[in-house]
Amino acid sequence: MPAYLLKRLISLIFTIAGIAVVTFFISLVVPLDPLAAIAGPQAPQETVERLRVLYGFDQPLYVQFGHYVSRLSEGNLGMSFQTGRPVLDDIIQFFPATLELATIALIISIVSGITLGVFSAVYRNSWIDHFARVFSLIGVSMPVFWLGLVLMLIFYFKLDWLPEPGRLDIMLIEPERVTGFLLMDSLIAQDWEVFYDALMHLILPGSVLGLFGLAGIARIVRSSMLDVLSQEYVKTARIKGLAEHLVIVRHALRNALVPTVTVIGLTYGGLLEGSVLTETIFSWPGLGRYLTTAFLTLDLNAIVGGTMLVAMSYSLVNLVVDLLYAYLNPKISLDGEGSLS
Amino acid sequence: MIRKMLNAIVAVSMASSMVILAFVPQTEAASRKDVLVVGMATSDLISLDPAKAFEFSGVGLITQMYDRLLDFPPGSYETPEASLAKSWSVGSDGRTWTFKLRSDAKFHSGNPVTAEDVVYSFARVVTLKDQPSFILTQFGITPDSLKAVDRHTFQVTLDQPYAGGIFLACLAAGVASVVDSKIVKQHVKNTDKYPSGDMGLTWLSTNSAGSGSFILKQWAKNDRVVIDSNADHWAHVPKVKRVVIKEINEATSRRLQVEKGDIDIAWELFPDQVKALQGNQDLNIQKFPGTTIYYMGINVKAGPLADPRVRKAIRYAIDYDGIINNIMGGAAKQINTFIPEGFAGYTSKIYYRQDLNKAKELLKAAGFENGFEIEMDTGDQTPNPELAQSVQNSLRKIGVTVKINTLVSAQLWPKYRAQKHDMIMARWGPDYNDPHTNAQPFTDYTARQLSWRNVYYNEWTSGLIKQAGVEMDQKRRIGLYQQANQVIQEDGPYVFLFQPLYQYGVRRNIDGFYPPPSFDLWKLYTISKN
Amino acid sequence: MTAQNLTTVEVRMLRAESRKRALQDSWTLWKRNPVTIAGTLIILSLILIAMVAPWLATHDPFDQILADRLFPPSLDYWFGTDNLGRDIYSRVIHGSRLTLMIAFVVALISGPIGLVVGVLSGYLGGMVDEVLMRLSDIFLAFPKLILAIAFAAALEPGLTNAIIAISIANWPSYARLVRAETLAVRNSDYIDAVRILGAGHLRIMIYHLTPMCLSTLIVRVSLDMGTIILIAAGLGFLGLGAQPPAPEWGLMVSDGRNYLVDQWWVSTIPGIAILVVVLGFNLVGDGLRDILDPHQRQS
Repeated sequence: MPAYLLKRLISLIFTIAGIAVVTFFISLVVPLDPLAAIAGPQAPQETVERLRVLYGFDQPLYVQFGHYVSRLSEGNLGMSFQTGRPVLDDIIQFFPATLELATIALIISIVSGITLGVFSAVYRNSWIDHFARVFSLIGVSMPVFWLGLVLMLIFYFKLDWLPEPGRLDIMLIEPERVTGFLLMDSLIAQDWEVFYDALMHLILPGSVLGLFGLAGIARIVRSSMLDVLSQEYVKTARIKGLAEHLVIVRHALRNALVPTVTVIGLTYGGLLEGSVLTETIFSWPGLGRYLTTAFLTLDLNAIVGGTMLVAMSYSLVNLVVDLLYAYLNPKISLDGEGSLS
Repeated sequence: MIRKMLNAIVAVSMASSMVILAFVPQTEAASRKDVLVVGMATSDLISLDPAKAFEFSGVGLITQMYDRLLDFPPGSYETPEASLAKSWSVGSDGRTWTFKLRSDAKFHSGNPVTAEDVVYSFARVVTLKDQPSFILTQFGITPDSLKAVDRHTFQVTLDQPYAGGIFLACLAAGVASVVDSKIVKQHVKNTDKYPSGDMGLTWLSTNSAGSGSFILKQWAKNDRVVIDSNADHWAHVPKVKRVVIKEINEATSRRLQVEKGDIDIAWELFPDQVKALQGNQDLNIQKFPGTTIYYMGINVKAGPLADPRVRKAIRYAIDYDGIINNIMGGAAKQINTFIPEGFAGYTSKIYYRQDLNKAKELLKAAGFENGFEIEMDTGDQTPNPELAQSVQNSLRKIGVTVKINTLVSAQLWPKYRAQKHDMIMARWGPDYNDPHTNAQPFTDYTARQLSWRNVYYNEWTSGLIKQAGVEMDQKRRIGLYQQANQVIQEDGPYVFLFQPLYQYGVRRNIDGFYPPPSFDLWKLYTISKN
Repeated sequence: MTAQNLTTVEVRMLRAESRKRALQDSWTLWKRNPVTIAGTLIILSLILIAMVAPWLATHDPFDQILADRLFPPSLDYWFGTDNLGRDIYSRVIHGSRLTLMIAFVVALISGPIGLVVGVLSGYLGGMVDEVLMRLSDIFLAFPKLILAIAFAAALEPGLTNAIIAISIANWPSYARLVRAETLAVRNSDYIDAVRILGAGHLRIMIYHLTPMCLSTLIVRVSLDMGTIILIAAGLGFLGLGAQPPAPEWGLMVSDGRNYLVDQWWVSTIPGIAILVVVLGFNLVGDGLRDILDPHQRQS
């Protein structure tokens, strides 16, 4: 186990270094000039030239690359052109909002995914099964950017059940920042008004994003439930006269959840990704929007920092999933070549 | 054992949450009645430092928190009036300007506003040389040309005489805001870019140190800016206690939220949204002609576009009425001058109306009877893509095939600056409130601005503008601009489309809102909420 | 039964036999599931619509009649008109061609790249494997949409570059899959037999390994079609995909977002078009997974 962990961590470091190089070269193939972009349409040419010197863009590429590497190796992500702050500060500010959204979305995905999956399996090939499957597939087929707009129109504007886009009502002031998660910070501050308001603001974007992960979870739960339900011990439990719902929940579901863990991990990664579009629609001040703006404005340091962070969390989630899976399922050997890929 | 541990954990977490609670500032119970909520597209916000901010929303916010020597009062934008400066005069050499400051102005910190602060503020701008600095450096201002004669007398010497109107208008621009030098000096940092001190650039980007009507309370990026009233302002104490500027980048969203009363004022609504809000009893739509000019730039170097007859043909082919009545919903006015309505020197004369026959004749005369293919770049913000597609449709009728590239700003502006476009759909907003701010970029190629980007190197118009820059007689100066405009309209590298009408959705219980003509000329202190 | 006892011809025959049986089973399973049938029908009609789009359209999809902008659905304009007075019905119909084109071109670019990289990596092993897999790890570490946005923003926005960007984001997972498949058969009796019969490495890779991996890859690529279309639409929505006046559905949703409240049809109809098509691909994909799932086959 420790050997395996070490191997994974080393490969993670390689990957991160690779990510840094790839991102730098993405910025190299850009046939355009980030400085002219920073300066905007109105600033005179002299200003652009001055900024070029100030930001070191007048130097040859290998010098820039050298600076870039030495800076990164010190853990310095540099300054964002867009916000004029260290990229790290930006990330610390924006990432919790994204994580909070993705986590709520994941909870919604898991709860509804498991429910649908169980019903699908128990009432296999009936109309319930078909309905559940089509519903979850619709969820994953929906263009989030469009669904977000439509749901906002219905639930916020027409019905007035849910609050406006954003993270918190305009009259409320964020509690002191401890974790950056509004739900947690408001609990720590025992500010119930903020907690309730933040939760209400999370429902709509959380559900839209959650729909996205629903299908994968429902599918795996259904297929592993089917698998487990045909096993001997389940049959025995039934013969012993245990109530059907107890058989399903206590015996079948518990065992069916093991393979689900893998899918949940992958879903979490997918949700971080899906947040890019969701945040754009719901004015969510998170990393997805920060990154999109960075791409659209060629804010190189922010792009590098942001993508590295996303890629790292993605890899980390995968690692944790693999470990968890192995822990839950001792039959899998971690050191076997290709056993997990 | 386990129970004991659990008890210990509970006790520790209780204690720690009590400690944390003690440090949590009690949320002030500001009631909705005292708080004005404005919905605005502020995604462009980079810095709230007057020496750095050059984005639309940033400059607008700065004018709420800082005072300048001169200012444009709400609702009147022709000539700047006294603000921190009581009076001013120019010496006989035409270069030395002396300003007498009022003595009752105080910064938010309580420090009095002195001539030293003005010297420091301007020195910051010309030393840091960030985006908006050219507004001051174009007059040859350096740290050495600034002088505090006494506590309340400030003097600046320009490198040559300039037209007074231009210079004073520039002193009313956001970049000329006066900062609290004592406070800023406490926050100087040595950074990578400024190893010998950043003059507070880092700190001021998220803090305020001004004397204006509002004090910056909080800026949560991509979310909101909260400013509080400065009850000690020397003249303009706001009528509300707090203003929240909420970032809402989508115009549709701004409209929905103002309609529901979640925000009090919706900034810049588009015609289709205004149409939908008509007849709503809870709302007023307030309008003001904006000073922004929507135009199409034509690269004179790009193949057929080199022929002035072709450029003229394009100007005749465009469906101006269709664009204004349909795409802009009537909220715009055709314009055939680079001086917008609202500035001295504006003329309502229209040179071009759609005339496809004339356009075809001109193309034929230029030898392009069968048309040609050409590219057009446009930004991705409404209404530019729609405008581009309308032009594309019109030019198709005279045989010119247009390929549209919708580019994000990071791609659009660099391409424009590098003179690599064929045609570009763009807009221009004045940097300060004087016609010179438009005349120079549009006609003087040596300024390396719009005329240069479109490779239109016309010595004659360039000379006219240079002459205007130093012309002390206002009337003669305006005459020079108009002369240059005639040449530009006949021969120049632009299609002038329109000047928009800016429209704001305002809740009925809001009074005293003056719809501004541009991104920086708004004032919130006049607004009250009933 | 060992490899030595079988000739290549016999091996081929056995494989053909089992393939035929598998196909029959699949057909039965396919017929049994109404959901899969629905998906297949959606895709078939999409292809049909794309083929005869010019005859189905009632208007020129590019023709602007500014006086008729934002008209609701009517007899003249079945799905209404957009903000430039273009017929939405005709645009959606023509847009089906773009959607299909994007999905297939991405598949045709990223599939073969994944196949080559995967077979090389799996068969040759060693350093080649190490380098190729670390490379694919790096690309896999980026979420697909983010990688596609990065490349689409770096190259100039446009349909071609969007296709390139999505392909760049897609190939690594295919390479992974093919590699795993190659590893599984590399040391099989069948390949051993072929090698003993005197085939060179190149020959083995091209004539034996590639065809064996192909079916898995094709299934996987078809499962991905829905995602590819969604990513392309997302890029269009962000302004990094197809350019106006192209009737690309994502772009149309984006164009219509400012009118959603009062003119719902402008962005809702292309939105529904995306939904239906992606759903079609996903329904078929769901059915395909069932067909390939051994548990399902047994019962």
